[in-house]
Amino acid sequence: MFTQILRRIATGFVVLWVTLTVVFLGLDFAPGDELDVLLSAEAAASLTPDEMAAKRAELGLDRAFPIKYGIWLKKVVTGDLGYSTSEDNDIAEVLKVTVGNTAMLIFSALFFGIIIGVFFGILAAIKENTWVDYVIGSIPIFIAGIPGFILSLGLIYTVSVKMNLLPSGYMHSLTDESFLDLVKHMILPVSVLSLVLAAQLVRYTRASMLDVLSSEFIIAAKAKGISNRRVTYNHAFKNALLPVISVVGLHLPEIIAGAVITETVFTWPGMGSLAVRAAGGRDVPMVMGIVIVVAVTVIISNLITDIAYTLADPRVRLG
Amino acid sequence: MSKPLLEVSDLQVEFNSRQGRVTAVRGLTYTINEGQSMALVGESGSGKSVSALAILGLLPKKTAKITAGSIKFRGEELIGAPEKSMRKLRGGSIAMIFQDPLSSLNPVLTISEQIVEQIKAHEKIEGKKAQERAIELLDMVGIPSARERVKQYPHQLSGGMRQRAMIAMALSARPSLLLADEPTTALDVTIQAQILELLTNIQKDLGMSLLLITHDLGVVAGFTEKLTVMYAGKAVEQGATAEVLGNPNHPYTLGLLRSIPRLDRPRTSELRPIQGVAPDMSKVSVGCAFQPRCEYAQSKCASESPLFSTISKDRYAACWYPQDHALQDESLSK
Ligand SMILES: Nc1ncnc2c1ncn2[C@@H]1O[C@H](COP(=O)(O)OP(=O)(O)OP(=O)(O)O)[C@@H](O)[C@H]1O
Ligand SMILES: [Mg+2]
Repeated sequence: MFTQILRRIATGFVVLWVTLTVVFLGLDFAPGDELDVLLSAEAAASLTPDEMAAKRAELGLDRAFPIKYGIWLKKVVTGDLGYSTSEDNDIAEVLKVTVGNTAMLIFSALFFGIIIGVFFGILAAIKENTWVDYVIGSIPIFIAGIPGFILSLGLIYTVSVKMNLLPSGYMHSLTDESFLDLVKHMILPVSVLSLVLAAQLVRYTRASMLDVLSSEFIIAAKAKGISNRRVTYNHAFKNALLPVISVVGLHLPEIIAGAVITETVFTWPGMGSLAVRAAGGRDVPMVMGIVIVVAVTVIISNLITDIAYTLADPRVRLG
Repeated sequence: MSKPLLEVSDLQVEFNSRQGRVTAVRGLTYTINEGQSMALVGESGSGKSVSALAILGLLPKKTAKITAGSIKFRGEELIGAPEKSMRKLRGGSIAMIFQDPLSSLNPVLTISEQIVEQIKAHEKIEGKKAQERAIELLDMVGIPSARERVKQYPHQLSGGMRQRAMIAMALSARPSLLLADEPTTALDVTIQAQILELLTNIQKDLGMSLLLITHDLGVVAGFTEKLTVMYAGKAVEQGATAEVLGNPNHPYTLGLLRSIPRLDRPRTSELRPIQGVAPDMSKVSVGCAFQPRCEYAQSKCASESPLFSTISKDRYAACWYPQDHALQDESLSK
């Protein structure tokens, strides 16, 4: 089991290295270099070409390609991602704050989405072909049919504008920094994200549960005289959860992408809004910083999925 | 004479699914006395498993229906009995083991968890004690180093050991009747014999009754006292195992015996497989279901269905023209 996980971690590092290299190439081929970023337009105009060349040499920008690559990689590994012109701040500093804000949304959405999706998926499977099943089965189709941003706008319009119950955007009110205020701001975006995730999971959980319920060990379990509850939860549920773990893992990049859009609609100060601003401001280093964070997140979440699956299935865990 | 424990009479089971209606069991009658063992033999699809699941009330509720007949256990009717009393019987007085031990054990629970939960379902007992009992049971069915094995998951055991574990589990509440649905079909030949021997030894030691389901007539010889042969959902022949094998009355039983390859016969003696195929269980049959494949069939067989009736003392068959020739070279009845 440990060698398996170690191998996964090693693969993760390779993927990360490839991503970093691609990012470096992107930065290198983009017009302008670090010096252009550091100097304002006026300052650059006041310098002679010779002075500019001297400054470039100072920063190591005139070196051969592999050496530049090495210098850049070393900086990135030590957490120095460069300077963002659009945010007028150190990129690593900007990312620290925004990644935290986005993580808050995504983790809440995962938490509620998984609970809601798995719960209703099981309910639908147990009540197969009754009206309960049909209702639970049709809502996800309805939700999957509406794009996330329309759902968001719909919620903003009804809940915030018409009913005036919850704020429509940002993380905090101007005058209120309390936790309760934060929660109020989170409800709408988290609802959208968890509904979209739950809609997917309901279908998978139901199918997986039905599959397990028709397997022979369920009949065998019933033949033991244990209660129906025990058959459902101790025998069927534990097995039905295995494919659901994989599905959550597979959908994580999609969930992150969904968060980017949802954040923008709700003006949540996270990675999504940041990416939109950086792209708008043609801030290439900032965009690349975001790419690195997303890559690291996806790699880590795949690793977590693998470990979770390994722990849940003794056939994998013990070989 | 010992008392009857399980009495199945004229059982009929029907499946209603989108694919249509299938009458899987069309009249099955037998009695198993206390401490007695009976084999239920028939080819694939003849309704053996369905009839066994019917006893425990485990047929799929949505599609299956028992349309006629009765199943009595210790004189009490089981068809339509309340769920609560059925649950007490299941794994309590009547236990069941299945064909494929790998797919009938839960892959994510340890052997211990699976045995302990069954013990706890039938008596109030401390976890520690139930755990000890599980180890004793594994010991009893011949699993070496039971104390370690009990902590393992099904996939860590070999096929034979898994079936032993299933048997241990089935015995955990000291059942009076064990339903064994093709318990050796998924196993190697050498292990098959070991498991059958284990089953019959346990059956005798515990004075338990046994219903041994199999599609292999060769398996039952010497292992069970009584034998019921099924064809297309119906009992076609019944009697003491040795007598039925030595002198089959029904042409189907005769055909089955002639089609078994045997090592103790000269290689030149021909095998005679039964010609034709088993009938489609979704069709209603007129006359004797075996008639199209029967070499002794006459015109009456195609129009009228023979009743399952006494041929001689304690011998039953459903045939208009029961045969009566002792099989000389077939020494299956040892
Ligand atoms: N859940 C079900 N739905 C519909 N038909 C079924 C179902 N289970 C069994 N049947 C039908 O009932 C008939 C008898 O099946 P059963 O499993 O009892 O056969 P069997 O004698 O045990 O055969 P085998 O030796 O292959 O186990 C078959 O024709 C099958 O198609
Ligand atoms: Mg069967």
